[in-house]
Amino acid sequence: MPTIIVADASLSMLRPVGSNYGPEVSDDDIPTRKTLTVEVINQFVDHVSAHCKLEFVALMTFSSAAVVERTFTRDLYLIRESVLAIPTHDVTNYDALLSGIAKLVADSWGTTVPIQILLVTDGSLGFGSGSLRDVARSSKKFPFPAKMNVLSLNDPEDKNFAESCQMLKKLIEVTCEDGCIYLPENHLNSKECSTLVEKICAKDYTPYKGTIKCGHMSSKVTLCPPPQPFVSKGDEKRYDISEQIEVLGFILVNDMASPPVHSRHLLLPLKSSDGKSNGKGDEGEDSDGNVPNFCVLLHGALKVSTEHYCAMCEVGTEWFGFIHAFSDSKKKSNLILSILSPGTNIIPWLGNLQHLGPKEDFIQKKTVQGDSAPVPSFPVKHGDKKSYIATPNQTTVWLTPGGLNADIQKLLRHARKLPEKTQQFYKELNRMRRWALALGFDSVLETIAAVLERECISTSHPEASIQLTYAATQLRTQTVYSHTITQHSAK
Amino acid sequence: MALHTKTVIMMDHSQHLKEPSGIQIEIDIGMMGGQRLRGRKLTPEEERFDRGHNWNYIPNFFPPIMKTLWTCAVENVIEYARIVYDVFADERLLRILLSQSTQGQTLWLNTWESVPTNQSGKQVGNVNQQSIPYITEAFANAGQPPSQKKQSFVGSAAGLQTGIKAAIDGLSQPSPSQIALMNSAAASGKGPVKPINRGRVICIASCTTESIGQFTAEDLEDFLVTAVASQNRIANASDHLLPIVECELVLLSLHPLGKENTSRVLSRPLHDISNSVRAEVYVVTPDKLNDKLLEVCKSHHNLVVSTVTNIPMKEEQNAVSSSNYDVPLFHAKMPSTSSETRMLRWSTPTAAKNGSGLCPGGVIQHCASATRITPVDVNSRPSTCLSNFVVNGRSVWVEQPSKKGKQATHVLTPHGAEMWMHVMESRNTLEDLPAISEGVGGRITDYRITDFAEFIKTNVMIPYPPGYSEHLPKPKYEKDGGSFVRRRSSSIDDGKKPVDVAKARLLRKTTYWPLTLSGSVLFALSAHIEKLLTLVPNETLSEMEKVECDKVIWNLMSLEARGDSPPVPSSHFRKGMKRDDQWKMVYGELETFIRANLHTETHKKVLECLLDCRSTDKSSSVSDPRLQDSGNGEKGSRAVKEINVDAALEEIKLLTSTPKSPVTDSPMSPPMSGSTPDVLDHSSKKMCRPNLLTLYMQKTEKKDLRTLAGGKLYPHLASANSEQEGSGKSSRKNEA
Repeated sequence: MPTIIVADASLSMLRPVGSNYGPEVSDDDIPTRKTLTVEVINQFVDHVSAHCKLEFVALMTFSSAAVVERTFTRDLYLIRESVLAIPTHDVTNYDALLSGIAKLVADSWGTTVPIQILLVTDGSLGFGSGSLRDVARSSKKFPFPAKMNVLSLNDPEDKNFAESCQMLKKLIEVTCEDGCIYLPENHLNSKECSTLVEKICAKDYTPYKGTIKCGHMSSKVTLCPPPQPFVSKGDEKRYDISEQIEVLGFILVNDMASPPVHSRHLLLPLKSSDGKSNGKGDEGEDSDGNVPNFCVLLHGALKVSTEHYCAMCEVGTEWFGFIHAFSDSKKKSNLILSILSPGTNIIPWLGNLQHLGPKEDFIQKKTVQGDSAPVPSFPVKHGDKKSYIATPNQTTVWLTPGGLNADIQKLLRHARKLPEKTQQFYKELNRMRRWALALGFDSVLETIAAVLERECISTSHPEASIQLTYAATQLRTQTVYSHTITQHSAK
Repeated sequence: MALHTKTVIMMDHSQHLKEPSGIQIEIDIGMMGGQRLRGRKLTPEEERFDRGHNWNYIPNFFPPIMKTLWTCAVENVIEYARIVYDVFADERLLRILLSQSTQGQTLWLNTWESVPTNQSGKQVGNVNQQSIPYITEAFANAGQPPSQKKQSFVGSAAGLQTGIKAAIDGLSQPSPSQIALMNSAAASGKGPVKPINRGRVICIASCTTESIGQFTAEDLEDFLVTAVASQNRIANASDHLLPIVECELVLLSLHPLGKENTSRVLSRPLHDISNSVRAEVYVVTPDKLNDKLLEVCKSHHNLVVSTVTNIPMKEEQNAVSSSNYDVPLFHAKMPSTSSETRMLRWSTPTAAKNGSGLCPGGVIQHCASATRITPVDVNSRPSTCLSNFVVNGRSVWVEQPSKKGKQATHVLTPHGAEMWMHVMESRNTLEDLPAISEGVGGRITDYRITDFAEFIKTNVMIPYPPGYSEHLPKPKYEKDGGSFVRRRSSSIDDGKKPVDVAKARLLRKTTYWPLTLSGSVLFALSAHIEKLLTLVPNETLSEMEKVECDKVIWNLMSLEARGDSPPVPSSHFRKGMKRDDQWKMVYGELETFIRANLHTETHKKVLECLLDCRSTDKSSSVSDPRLQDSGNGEKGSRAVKEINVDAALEEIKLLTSTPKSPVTDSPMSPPMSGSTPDVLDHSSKKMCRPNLLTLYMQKTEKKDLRTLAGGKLYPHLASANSEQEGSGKSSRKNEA
């Protein structure tokens, strides 16, 4: 997921980290918080460029205003270049920071892409409006999914250390609901900071290494961006992505019907380091392209089918996803693993994902047992007929006088075309009658009866007049809901 | 369980709600049935008809009618339920409780269950209790509140209290999904686990001095806290009731138009009463009830309204012209949507073909979120036009106007008979990615892509019916090659989830699956041996299917016997490879393939057939030693004998039907009787195999397959085999 590196550019960053340097060290050699910032960002960028090649990174600085030093790019050289030019301004203003982040993300990604924020600050709180105290209390959640890691270059001996930690923690909770604060354990120095960056990278920027498996076929793969564990908000249940992505079977793309997903990842085959997984023997460094790989086969077959399929997979305990072919341009095509939210009842039209099973086995079993039940198909249905589906019966709504009058007029239209519209007439009549009974709306029954009797006078067809009179009488006398008024037949 | 999953709607079913609402409804029967209402001018024809008709003689007036408070309450409760069931299907449950405040009685109209049950819990009929038809009928059966003479004395709140108590009791009863959680916890041996239980109570009553006496809202709130606490005590002691950890009450005090000042309670927004109980109170008149209850519904279920604008529709009467309409829709608030009402402009409707609008060109779209939708005004003509259009299979892209200009990001689409709205990602990080052909295995061009496409088709998944495995009768196991052969591993029927069946199936189907064309002679031959290639990876093989496989093997033999090379492109073989060796390669791979698929005894017989053929091919002996050996075997000996006789017979038939004698015909082959060292070596090796197999078959019951495959037992076995072979030959001669 795209990362925004935010560097604190307030004046306080120029403070040297003093406490643990003896008098023999000259002032110029004592690092400032700013030099540490540059160090940690460079270390972080080095890690990302080595292990997460496809990550987008942006660099932002903030002081009294937030400045986008470099917008999202995969060319991390550009970021390194900008890091060298991190400026120093004046006060700390978190308001400016938050609105700056929100704008950058909205402009680049909209509201759907999850963003990681790495904030490097000295932990100074600022004053007045826009101070950390103020913002942690009043700010809102970002309009996009976000995670914030704060690397606080705050010496544990600083007097605002505790409050700063508390406020930063609150800031994370309020704006992202997810993230961590990384603090130096003993003293603020370059070595401690480097350890902190390592921790952040280990936690959130470790490339995924796993295996995709389809029966006995398999391939080592990596996922970009690396999938994140999922913590359910309700019960704090943590779901971890498995190292084995197991294909369960295949589903038509149209049946899958572009469901909402938790995250999407490029699925790239890795060379099998031990040469065992495919049983294809050893391979040289250069011949990677020439070693048959299951992913390439899968990709080819998913693309070539006249009907388009995707591969349903299990990615963890009670956690599912699907693999499909994707190309953003006509030339370059690849495999995408879309990971659904954890759980078994995630996509209503697919039903319980643990109840997905092979079609052929089902049919075979049915044949053996002589079972004539139909073979189930997608989409899986839930609950009852929706109110907006007019068959067999239109939903009745009399919340407004218009609704009631429209129904009366509809009934009259059928009444005027009696006897041709006898069926429709009685269908409408019963629908209105039942609704009136359910609402305990007796007076309307009398009104409908009167309307029908009036229509009886104006009609010239003898059959119509018989039916109308009969219907009016029935409306007045039949009060049992389950009763259906049917056409009057002369015996 | 969140607050919104369980809601009890408690309604006062006493004479207090029988008051007239105070709102007159004019009856408008229309001149021609509705045009006046829709504000459209009559066409000339209609006017002519209008004049011809003798309208003027009949009075066109009906006295206005009036709903009671009860009627207003019922129709609004049903509207609340309509929206919840439309948008959340079976995910959110409602129960309706009628309380006869003067008699202290309560009546539940439905339970949390979806199947209809009677009081003793037995299923009656098939109308879902969590559905509008069921609730509507239940309301009709409950009827109007009883009319009683107005009591002159001051009422008491006993009825209201009884109702609240019953509602709280209802909330503590578990829903089907909570029962399932409890059952699965009990089944996994975790002991009794009580799911977290929350819920809401919406109470509709008319709180006047006549109905509740000197009772106040504060008294009611106190009573609610006590009721929850005492219910929780009962629930904690019970094994099936659930304590309520969080509860919200909405009290709607409904009064006839202009009489809201008779209310004993005052409107008050949501406030905490205790740390687990909250309440809100609204005094409403019937004209405001709909707005208020919709507002409550929206806040309870986090709903928003989006309006699809500029929908072109044909005029009802004049189909030539069309105008644009707007349809407002309720839907769940999605993470990516703001809370305010949004306008979505009609953009691109797409064909009715299987939701292809959602996956144009068979490509999965990057969807961020999706929700069911339902029209705000379900019966308006624009709403019904839109719902019909979508439910009949069309997907419609709609645009959300933004600063960046128009972007079609939302799709209205059907899933079954439900309307959904998907929100697509406007941009994501999956851009400018490397192609798969640039990576590992990317330069190879002879992947068995069409074969794998076929593999995909034969491994399509379907949604198995819930509780599928329980419905199946226990399979009958037959000892010897019956139609229902016992499977090696635990079978589907032993309570395996369908998804595990799928995994097992893929394992079975891929035991031998070369990725590339050049990696396999066998699959290059597939035109000749297709039957075998498809049948052998099956879980079971019937006798008929086994014979089919045998035939395939014999066909190969006869090809070889005719002196043909294996019918595959010569690129599969090393240059200058002898034809014999080419066949050896084919049979070798065929053997590997069958060995990888020894799912049942019948599968093993196919392997035997191949091995038999191979051994008899080079020497005149039929597999007599096998007969003896298998006679010693513990299991399936009878079957093996039969099969061998079968095989032998078939083989003889085949050989005799082949015009040319297999051996003499081949110029490269030595004469039949002549045993050059090469052939001897070859045949003896081959002849060892059946015996090896028999031996290992005897031991399969105890030993793992793999330990045998690579063992150093070979020399030992070979010597043992040659002995047995000798005796076999002699016994064969005796028989002959």
